[in-house]
Amino acid sequence: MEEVKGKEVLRIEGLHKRFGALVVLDDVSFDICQGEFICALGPSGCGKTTILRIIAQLAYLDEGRIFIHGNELITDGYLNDLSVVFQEPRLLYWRTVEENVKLALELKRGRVSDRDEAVVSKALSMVGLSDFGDAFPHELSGGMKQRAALARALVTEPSILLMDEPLTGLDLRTREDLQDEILRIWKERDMTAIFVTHDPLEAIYMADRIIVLSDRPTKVKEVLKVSLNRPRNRDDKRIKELEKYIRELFGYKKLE
Amino acid sequence: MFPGPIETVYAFFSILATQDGWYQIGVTCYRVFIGTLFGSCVGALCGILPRYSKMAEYAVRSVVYPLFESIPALCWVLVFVVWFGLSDVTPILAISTAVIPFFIINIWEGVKELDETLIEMAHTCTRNRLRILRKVIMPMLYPYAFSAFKTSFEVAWKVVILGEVFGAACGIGYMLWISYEVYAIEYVFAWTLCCAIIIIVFDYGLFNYIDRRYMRRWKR
Repeated sequence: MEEVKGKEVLRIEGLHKRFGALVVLDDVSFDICQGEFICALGPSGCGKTTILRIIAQLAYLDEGRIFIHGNELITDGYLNDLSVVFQEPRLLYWRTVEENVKLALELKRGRVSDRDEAVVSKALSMVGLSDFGDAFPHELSGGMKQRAALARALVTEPSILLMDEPLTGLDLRTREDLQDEILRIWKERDMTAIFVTHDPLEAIYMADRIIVLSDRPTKVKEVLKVSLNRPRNRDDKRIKELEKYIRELFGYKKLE
Repeated sequence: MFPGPIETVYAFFSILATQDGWYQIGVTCYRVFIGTLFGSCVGALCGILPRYSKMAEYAVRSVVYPLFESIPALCWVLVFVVWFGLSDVTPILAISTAVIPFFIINIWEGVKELDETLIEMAHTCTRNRLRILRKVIMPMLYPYAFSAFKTSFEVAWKVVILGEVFGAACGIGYMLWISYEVYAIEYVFAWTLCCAIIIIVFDYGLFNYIDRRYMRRWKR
């Protein structure tokens, strides 16, 4: 089923990245439309995280161009519109959950007003941590820490959300809960999401389109459209079929 | 003959009974406070700058740190007496020079232990390096600064007495010296008692309180 999507938000053209002699990204190009949920899928150790880091301006590109809302990104300027959730929660251990969420506002604006308290508690309730605002990170479980990190990313109301394997290392149950949670928030906030993962099943369950990346040097192997209706069912046969297709694409052993 | 404990205690209370006694104590505390504060600022700056510049790292490692670390406090005091005469400046700067190496060492250690993943996270929120310094980097250094303060405080008290003996016209050190000069040994003991009590009160009282009350957050 073709979904009607808005205009292009992010376009990446001919991205090259080398670390010394090591070629990490080799001519990676793709584009992302308004409100899309994109998964970048690739084996561990390929440059998928690097792509995300370049978009978040944590790493420099050697060649290529990035356009955000049609404007070319040179070095500066659009961070207000973008948030990142990392693989690790990266919470400040001396701050409570609430203070951690507030940090994003403090960093972005320099000063927070009383009115922002409401924004912070809204972000907390969105990820289901309303009752844990006063807890310290070390008192939380892995899943809850990642929820807090998600709240911190959401509090600035970004239109683009970058997620770098945020659910890796969590147990299956927590993972699935958070997958649904992320999808719900993405829909509610009408964000554009880029989600990096190495798990085909996760990618298929979440994405509108999957950008399948090859092993190093990373190229775009295929852009896969997942035209399943939402909410999706994890036991859907078509998900299994897609997973099989992707595994074969990677050359993994075929599933029985 | 040495004065006994009774004479000493009597002298001690006679110091506390006079306004002048409290003034001398106050002056010394003030010098310790200002000297440590100034030294902490300079030392912390020298500890943190190497993070931002290779030049600064070289300068601190091979010039600034050895300079403060290797010259004895008494030498500084004598130099400052020559420069500034008998004034507040001499003991204050003597304290600063004595505590600077503690701050350099501690803060530098902290800077090397900084959790870069948290700083990177902050970079996705803002371009403003000063905000990242204030909100993320400096708080990570608080435990190191706190332990530098604790050590510095004890050193500062030792140095301020020395500085006041040679370089000031008031303060506990000066009174110690004067008492010794006129051979009022019970007053030498009484002033020593003052020092000891102040150090104990601050060390066990104030620093312990701050540790329990505020530094708990930093213990993971």
